[in-house]
Amino acid sequence: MFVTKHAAELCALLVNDLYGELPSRILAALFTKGRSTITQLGLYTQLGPRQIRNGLGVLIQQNLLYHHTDADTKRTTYEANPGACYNLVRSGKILEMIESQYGKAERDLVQTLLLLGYARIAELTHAYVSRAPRSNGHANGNGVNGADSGLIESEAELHNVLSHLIRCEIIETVRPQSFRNPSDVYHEIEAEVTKTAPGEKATKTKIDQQRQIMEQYRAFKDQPKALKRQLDQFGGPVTKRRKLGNGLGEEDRAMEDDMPPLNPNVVVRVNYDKCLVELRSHRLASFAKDTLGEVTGEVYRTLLGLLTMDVSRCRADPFLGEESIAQQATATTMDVYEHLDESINVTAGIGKAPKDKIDYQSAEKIKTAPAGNDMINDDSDEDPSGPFDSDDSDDMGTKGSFSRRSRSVSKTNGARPTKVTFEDAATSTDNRLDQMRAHLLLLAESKHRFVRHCGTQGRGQWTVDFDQVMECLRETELDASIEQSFGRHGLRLTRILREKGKLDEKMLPSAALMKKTDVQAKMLAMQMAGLVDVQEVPKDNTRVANRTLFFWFFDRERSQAQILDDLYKAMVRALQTLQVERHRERNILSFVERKDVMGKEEEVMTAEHYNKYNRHLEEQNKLLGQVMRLDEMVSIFREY
Amino acid sequence: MSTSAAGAGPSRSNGSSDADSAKLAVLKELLYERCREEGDMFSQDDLLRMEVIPNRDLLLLARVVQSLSDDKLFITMREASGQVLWKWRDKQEAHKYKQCTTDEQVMVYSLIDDSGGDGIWTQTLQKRLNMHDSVLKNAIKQLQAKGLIAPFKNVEHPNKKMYIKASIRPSDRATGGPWYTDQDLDEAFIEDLQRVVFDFIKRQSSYHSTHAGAAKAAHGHAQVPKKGIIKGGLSDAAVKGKKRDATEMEAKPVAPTTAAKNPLAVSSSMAAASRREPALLPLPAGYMAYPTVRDIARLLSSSGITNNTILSEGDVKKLVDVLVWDNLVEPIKVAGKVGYRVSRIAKQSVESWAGREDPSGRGGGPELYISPLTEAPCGRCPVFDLCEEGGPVGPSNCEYFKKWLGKEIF
Repeated sequence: MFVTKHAAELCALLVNDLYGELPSRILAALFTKGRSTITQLGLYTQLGPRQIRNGLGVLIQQNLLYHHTDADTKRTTYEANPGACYNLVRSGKILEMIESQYGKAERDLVQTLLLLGYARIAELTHAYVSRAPRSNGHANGNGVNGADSGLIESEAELHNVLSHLIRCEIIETVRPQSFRNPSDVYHEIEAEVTKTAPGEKATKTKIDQQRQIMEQYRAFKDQPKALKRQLDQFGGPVTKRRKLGNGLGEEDRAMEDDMPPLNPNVVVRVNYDKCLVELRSHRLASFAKDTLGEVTGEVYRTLLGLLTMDVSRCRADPFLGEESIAQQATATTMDVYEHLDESINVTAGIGKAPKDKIDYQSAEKIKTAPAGNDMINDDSDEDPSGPFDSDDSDDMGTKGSFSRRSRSVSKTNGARPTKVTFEDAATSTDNRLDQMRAHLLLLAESKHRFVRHCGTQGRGQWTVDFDQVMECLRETELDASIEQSFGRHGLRLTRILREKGKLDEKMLPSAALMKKTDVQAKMLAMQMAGLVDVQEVPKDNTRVANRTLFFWFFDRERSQAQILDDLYKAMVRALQTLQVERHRERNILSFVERKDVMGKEEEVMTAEHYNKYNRHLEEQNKLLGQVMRLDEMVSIFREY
Repeated sequence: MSTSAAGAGPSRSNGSSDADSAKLAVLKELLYERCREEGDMFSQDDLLRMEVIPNRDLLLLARVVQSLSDDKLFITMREASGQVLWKWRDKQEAHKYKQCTTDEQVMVYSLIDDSGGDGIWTQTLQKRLNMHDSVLKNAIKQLQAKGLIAPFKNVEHPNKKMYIKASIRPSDRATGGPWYTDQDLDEAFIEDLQRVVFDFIKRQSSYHSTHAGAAKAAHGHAQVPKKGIIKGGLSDAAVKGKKRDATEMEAKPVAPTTAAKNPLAVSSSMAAASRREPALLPLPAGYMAYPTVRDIARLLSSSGITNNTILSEGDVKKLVDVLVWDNLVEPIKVAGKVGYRVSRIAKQSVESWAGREDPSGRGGGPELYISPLTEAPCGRCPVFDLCEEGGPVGPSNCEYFKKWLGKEIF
């Protein structure tokens, strides 16, 4: 991860907020100075070695540092882990996601792990077992109330939940190696492999070496998943469909009951990479919802859930290249149908159209490879001998669905929709399947290429080209921010440049249907903001303005990097504003923190103060909500 | 009608004998008429082949052609290969040269004539003719007084003084086509047309669901368990309370302004969303009747909105392209033809955009995706680059955040 000034500031601020000033100061020093030893840190921060050790302890406990002790010199160096620091801001989102995808007990466990950083299983067991008999009233003040039956109450239960999460890759094991910077490890392996003893001739070929490096590096990367594999061997592939089947669990848990107990000495922590995959699915589903409607979004969410089951990270590891992304998964219509939440009314969300106005051939077109850049100029659908012809049943099914749909929609009109869908569940199965399929086809047809229809088995196979969809999403976000800062005209001009590449200044006004002066003003404003730039090509040596061509262009990567930095800065500012607010209301806040006030604020405080306190809470919600939304954008540009 | 040419011919060639000049005049007339019948451009061989010149006498041909050129009835041209070609000129046009009394006027007029509908800049005239400034000005003035040339403004070079033949209209390139009125880009016209086109595409590319209230209610129902998993599906009601936070987060981008003003209003805005009865729905995949550029052009011409301007298909394409670049509509190719549909159909309102009085209200206008960044103060802060804790502006004294948080400024 590339760390800008604002990103470093943000990380330090987050750590300051959660773990106090000491770790934050050390972290800030590590960000500015890079890899350091304790003595060096002492110089940078003006802190005593004792304090530094304390601070480093906190940071290491929370996985916020990379550290490494050189085998020869016995010297330990520390380095900030910006990704992990940034992930602190996502804790809330991850917990919410875990709760909705996996359940309450899982959320509780992940929350505990997030608080602890990492923990030995024995410690976890001890904590949970000792907590269990206690009454729920004062569990630990984090809102984790023991009252609900969903919570972990026994050691066996803890182990079940734990192994379940380990097998879903949400939790990974920690080894001493985990605290090393992956790029360091890679380079070390590389040096090790390519090293030749004095006198020895380099005999291995480059390709051999590369393969060896990759193997070793992959072994390093797979270490945290060793336990998962072990568990998988015992449990068989039960984890499939875990989150999609309504109400996971009972049978899953039963299966896991006869698993050998987990080694109590294993250390575990939360695996953010996998969490991000889940968050990405969530974001993509809401993107689909935003463009095509709610029901379609739900169908898409279900499909994404199926496809990302075995995806352990959003982007390929920079060192391993494409290999680290698993073989592209596909899901059949039947799969999606089985996992679709039954309460979703698939009859809604798509309009009706006369049958003769639907071209089934293009709707059902199968694309075996990811589409090129321009869907409009892609003429492949003229092929009359498409695979569609061979698949008559699909055709009939969809055709039938449209006529049938009209009936069910009219029913929806009168009765409560839920009843309509489920009264005759048995007969409407096929109907529902076709209607759901229509949503999938709609997704496949969208210009954002949410879904690719890639085969005909099981009433159609579907896959998602994540790179392309994410690129579309990034584009949409970028467009939106340009539109709102430079207006429709600004967006229009940049989109023209994106489509046409470098463009002569004289071409822009006529293409954009704008006045020449307006175009110039807009382009200048956007150039100031770093979105577009101009290249001057003199026609001759005189270099006078009227003998020079001016080509405008739009640098996508630079704009994205720029917007990312702006996002960091905006997040920092929101958090800082929160701090300012807290400082302003410090009297009230310190009063509220008193043990005898907590929980009964309304009774104890005067009306004036209570209102003030409430207002502050509102502001805090607003600011933190904003930070979360900005983080959503950061993830889109950086991680997903 | 031939009197002018026939009469002028002999007067010029007064030096030669009468019989000779009479013969020349007849030949000229004959050749000119043949050329008018035959086509556009002629080489020397073409002219000989017309068998107007007796004995294919090259010398005679040369004299005839020279004479015709002098009368401005023939235009001499040179091909890239070096071959000389001639083109005939209308007699009335040629007659205009007769009105030019001085050589300067003829020279200036011929250049302006050559430039055709695009017109010519006075500076170019001067450079080409290498005339003295006052002579040129004088010639132009006289030509203008005779009604042969007229000044006009070219939209590509609004600051240049250009001249064009008085008898023709400036070309589309010079006037900017239908988008210009009096050499100015007619932005109001374009804006209104865009709205009409947008409304048309919206109507044609979506399903107008009048009873969407029911569908929406169904959504509301579907929304609660949306994450796909609720343990023991029966305990819906119990989970509902907890789920509310998630839906609230979800609803925020939908109703940014209300949410920004009052975070507690989120649920009410959601209620408002479900109360909004009619809604637009996407059409099923493979729908073939998305409007094409041709459909849109037909609509515009039949509706008579563009009362005195004719929009070609190319012009309409330009208009639609701009809408695509504005992210308002998107092209979609079904069954080999490209149609257009509205982006983010599920979020668009059913009201029409065109014909609205208040431009600020954005009523019926396209609903665009709102970026979280620009919603908060920082995204639209004019001094964002300067903002620094301890600097002239910073989080501790930020006016924008104060306003955003709803604090009164003291």
